[in-house]
Amino acid sequence: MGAYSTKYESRTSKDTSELIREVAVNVFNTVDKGISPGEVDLIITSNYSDSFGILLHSAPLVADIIGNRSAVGFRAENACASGTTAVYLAWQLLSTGKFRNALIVGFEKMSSQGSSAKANELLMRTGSPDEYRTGAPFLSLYALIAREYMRKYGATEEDLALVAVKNHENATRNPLAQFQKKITVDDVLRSPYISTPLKLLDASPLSDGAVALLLSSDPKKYTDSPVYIKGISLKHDYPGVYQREDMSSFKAVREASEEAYRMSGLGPEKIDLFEVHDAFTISEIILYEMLGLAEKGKGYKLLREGVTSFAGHKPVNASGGLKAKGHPIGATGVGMVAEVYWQLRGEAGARQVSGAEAGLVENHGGTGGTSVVIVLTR
Amino acid sequence: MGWRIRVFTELLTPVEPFKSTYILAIVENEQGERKIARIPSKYFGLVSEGVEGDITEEWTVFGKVTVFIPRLNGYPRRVVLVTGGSRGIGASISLEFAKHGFNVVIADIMRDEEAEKTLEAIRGLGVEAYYVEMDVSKWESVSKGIGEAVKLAGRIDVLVNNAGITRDTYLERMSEDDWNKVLDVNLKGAFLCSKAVYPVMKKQGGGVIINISSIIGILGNPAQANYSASKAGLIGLTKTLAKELAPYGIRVVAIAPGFAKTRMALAVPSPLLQEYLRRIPIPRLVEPEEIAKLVFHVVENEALNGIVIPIDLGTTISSPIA
Repeated sequence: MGAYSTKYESRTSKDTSELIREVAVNVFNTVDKGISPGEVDLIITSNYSDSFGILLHSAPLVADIIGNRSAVGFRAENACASGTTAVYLAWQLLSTGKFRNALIVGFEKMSSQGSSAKANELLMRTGSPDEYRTGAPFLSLYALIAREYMRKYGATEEDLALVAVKNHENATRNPLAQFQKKITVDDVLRSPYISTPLKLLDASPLSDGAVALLLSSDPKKYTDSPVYIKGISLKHDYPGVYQREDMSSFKAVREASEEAYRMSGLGPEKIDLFEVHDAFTISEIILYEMLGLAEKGKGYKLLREGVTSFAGHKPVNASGGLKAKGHPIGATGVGMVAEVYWQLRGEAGARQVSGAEAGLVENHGGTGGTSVVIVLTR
Repeated sequence: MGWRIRVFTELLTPVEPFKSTYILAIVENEQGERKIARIPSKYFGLVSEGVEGDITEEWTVFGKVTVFIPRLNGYPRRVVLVTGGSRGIGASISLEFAKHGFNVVIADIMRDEEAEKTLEAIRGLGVEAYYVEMDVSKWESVSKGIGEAVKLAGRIDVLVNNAGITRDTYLERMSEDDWNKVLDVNLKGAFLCSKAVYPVMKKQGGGVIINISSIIGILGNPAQANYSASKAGLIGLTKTLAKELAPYGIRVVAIAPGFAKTRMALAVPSPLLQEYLRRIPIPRLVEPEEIAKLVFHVVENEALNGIVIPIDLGTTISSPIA
């Protein structure tokens, strides 16, 4: 029933508590009929690492900021899926009837690490302990997934580049996006290799940002046009890529989406827009297959045919996605839900997908060790 | 039990805290058991999916890591590029590497009789010898020359920044041109060659850069303001690049010879040379072959990095009266 987001930035001048304050205060002004902070009885914060932002114990901070110390709160962490994990927990707790209104605040200030090499060290910790010890940064694990996929199905580096090009183009219509610049396939192909076959422009950036959401078990009390969570699921896979039978799939995503579709009674054909976890270009291609938009091994063909572009039949990441909108980890999943919320209420401005009635969020952690899929409708 | 590469990626960007580049691979055996493993960066460009190999364990400060050593049909012959390799210390270095089975690229300003003689001597040792024309003081020439060398020899494993000149005279007589010429060849030349070779070595997964400095760069010497500044500059360049390039498997070491039996040293007026010999613990000149052996040792000894090694018969420890 309410959502507020900062613009995602490469390096904000605000400190973490200011980011939190900005969204936690302003989200209350986005509720159509208004809600007082005192009506919130549950606070869930989402933040990947206290090394990004140098702040722990954020729930009482939020309670203090909104002036409601009677609410119950805690922090959710599930790597890059921390934001949707917070939404998942809020939904579960609201469903029990013990809570009525939840405030979710996701935030991350990744620029607080001195260098991208140090930031990547923190990100590496989401892999399996074996992968970490061997020195496998995130990008290299996705590079292994990409090579396995390309070898099996014949996708090319150019196919991967099309994801980056599409999402950068989409981000030009999103004032909240970190990058507002179109790029070409050539730009991507000419960018330096970080871990073959993945290049700099195959990766999402380090970002700063915060997003707040208000969820209610009785939304009609606060707005005449709420957005409903119709299906929600959280599933796990092996944390290590090498442990998985099929290294070119995200099993957790497939299982979570199957459950979320089943709960909502909607299949992929009924979903008008998708916000998915394109942390690296290869990820989005595999997600098409896991979410039922394409058969296994044929995901990359959707890009060639323009199916998932903004003007296409099934727009994916109309916001710009993690790739171009940005990826402030703890805020990312919360921001994806906020994006679909605005789209379904017709409030997405230049990036509005016309007539959108149902949307899907897919947010995963690590290399797919956790996946949360949420189906939302008007 | 045989292991083979299922899938791999060349990690080209060093990540904290590992500070090195390597190949990451998922390897598997016949039973379908899988491990995540590192393959040393020297195998960049040489492995492919399906390649078989052996598994060992390596100790790192972060714990034990699985290392996969691919079984390849021979490793490509290594290549050394020596600037100013036609004569003097440069020629000795070129021959020393040839003796150890390296293919040699001589980069020099002029392909004269001496260059031909050195090239022939190298070929006589059963390896390839190539010549590229290079003015080390000019980026365009260096960049073109290194490109040519890679085309000819296929790779560059070792760069020896050896090209050097002198324009000795006392400060009050030293012209701006004297200063610039010496600094351009001796110091800027090493910078430009290192810059041009870096991407080649990075892609190959490592290499060694050796800067031929001088004890004059450590001790100073009258009438050699330009030369000693250039040789001291090489020491700074060595230490900086040793830190900067280590994550890419590239080591950088400076060697500081004392007076060696070359034309350059023998150009020093003989009374001065005699005075010098009187004052050092072992009163003779360093043989160019001795310097060449040290250069080769530095390449083979992978623990050496960022240091300056004097090879000087004790010159740097000598007191006014030896």
